[in-house]
Amino acid sequence: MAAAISWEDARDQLKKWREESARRSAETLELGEFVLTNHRGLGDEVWAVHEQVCIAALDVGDIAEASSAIDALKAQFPQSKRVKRLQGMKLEAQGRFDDAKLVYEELLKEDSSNAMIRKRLVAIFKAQDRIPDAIKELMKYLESFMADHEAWLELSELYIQEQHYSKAAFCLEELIMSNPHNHLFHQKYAEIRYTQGGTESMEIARKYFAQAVKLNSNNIRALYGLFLAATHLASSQKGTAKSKKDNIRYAAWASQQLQHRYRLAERKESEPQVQHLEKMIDSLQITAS
Amino acid sequence: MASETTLSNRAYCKLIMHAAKYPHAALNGVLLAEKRKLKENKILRFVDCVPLCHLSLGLAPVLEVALFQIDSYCQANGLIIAGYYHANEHLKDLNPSPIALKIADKIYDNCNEACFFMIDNTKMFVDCDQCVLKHYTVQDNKWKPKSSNTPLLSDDCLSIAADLLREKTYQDLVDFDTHLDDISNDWLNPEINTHLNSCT
Repeated sequence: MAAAISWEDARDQLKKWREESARRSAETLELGEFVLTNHRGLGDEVWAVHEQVCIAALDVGDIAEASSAIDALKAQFPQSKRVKRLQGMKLEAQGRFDDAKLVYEELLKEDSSNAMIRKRLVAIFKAQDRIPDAIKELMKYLESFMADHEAWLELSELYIQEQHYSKAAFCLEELIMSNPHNHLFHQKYAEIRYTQGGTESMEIARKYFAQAVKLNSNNIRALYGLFLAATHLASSQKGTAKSKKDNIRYAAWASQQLQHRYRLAERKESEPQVQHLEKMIDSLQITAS
Repeated sequence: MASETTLSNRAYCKLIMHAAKYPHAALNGVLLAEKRKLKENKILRFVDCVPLCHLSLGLAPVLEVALFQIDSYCQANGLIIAGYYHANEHLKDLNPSPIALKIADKIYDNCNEACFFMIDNTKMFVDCDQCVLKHYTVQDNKWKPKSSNTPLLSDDCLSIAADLLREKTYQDLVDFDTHLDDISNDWLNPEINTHLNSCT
């Protein structure tokens, strides 16, 4: 791949991935090695590329490449905590978790508010497959860094893995309160409540799927969710006649929206996927009536 | 229980590509078998694979949508969802998680000859020198590893898989999560199917 694109394009691509914090480690490593063959052209950006390549190398288990990046950075910034963190991450990649922990604890003694390091402690537990401990550590982290959205989302993922859905839902409630206009948080909250099941949760799920669609009408997951939740409610034994009628209407609206979007996205050369969507809608409507 | 279980090159290669595309994530998918072979000869012949999720495996809506639509595709093409595969996020964790078992149970409800496979992450290499699947079947109402070592794959399957990984074809693989992000991505992967047909 590296040979096929120009040096400038490779540099810009790496920069873009850095900014998005994309996890495309194998490609990052390949492009990084290519870009670093002309490190003069990079100017001060060279250090950022070294750091990026180092983390990518650790992710794919290329310890030698990571070490050479760390050496280059250490020579330039002998006192840097950011470089020490990379050294800790290298120990993690080698499976030397206790040694890595010592490095991080040393760094936290100097500055206990270093969020990047605190998160490494969570990562170590995850790498050891100790999810309940990772949850505890992440909760401790969130006590000090309540505004860290990614951390709340990560906590909810860990709870979902452990099938603690009500706790996962709580994390999303926090996120929705601080970001009431983010459709993805509404959608995720609805997905969790849907998974919990039961009429009450299903009603909440339907409302939040609907809100997600309102905030972004192209959110396909939310449209499907709205359709499924409304269909469930319409076919449940408990609801009143009015709620059943309303839910049938919501489901019909969501299915229309979905069909419309599938028709727009249809490609001529392939088998139209909309037919499977339509069959699914048909099969569910029989159970609803 | 089915007397014989095999995976076609298309089924196995798509599965491997799914795992190769998201090495850092837990992922799952379903395997589709020929309905007639299963009914008449009790042979579980998986001819295709539909990759499902790599984002959040523990949530129901995406899974339900995917299974409904795949089922519709199966009915139109004489196939049946009769297999499930799952890879854990953790490199060395080969145990079926409670979520994996729950989904496998659902597949079993759909087809009582169904089986399920755990992907052994530690066996994933670019050279594809061995099959990465651990085979589970239902014995005495419980999922248990199958003891017999009959080969699941055809002779040339692993070498084709290795070529695909070297060519990095897996970057174009579409699973249901990618489909929902952009519905113009086809979860049947027609381009990869064409490519695979030219390999065999």
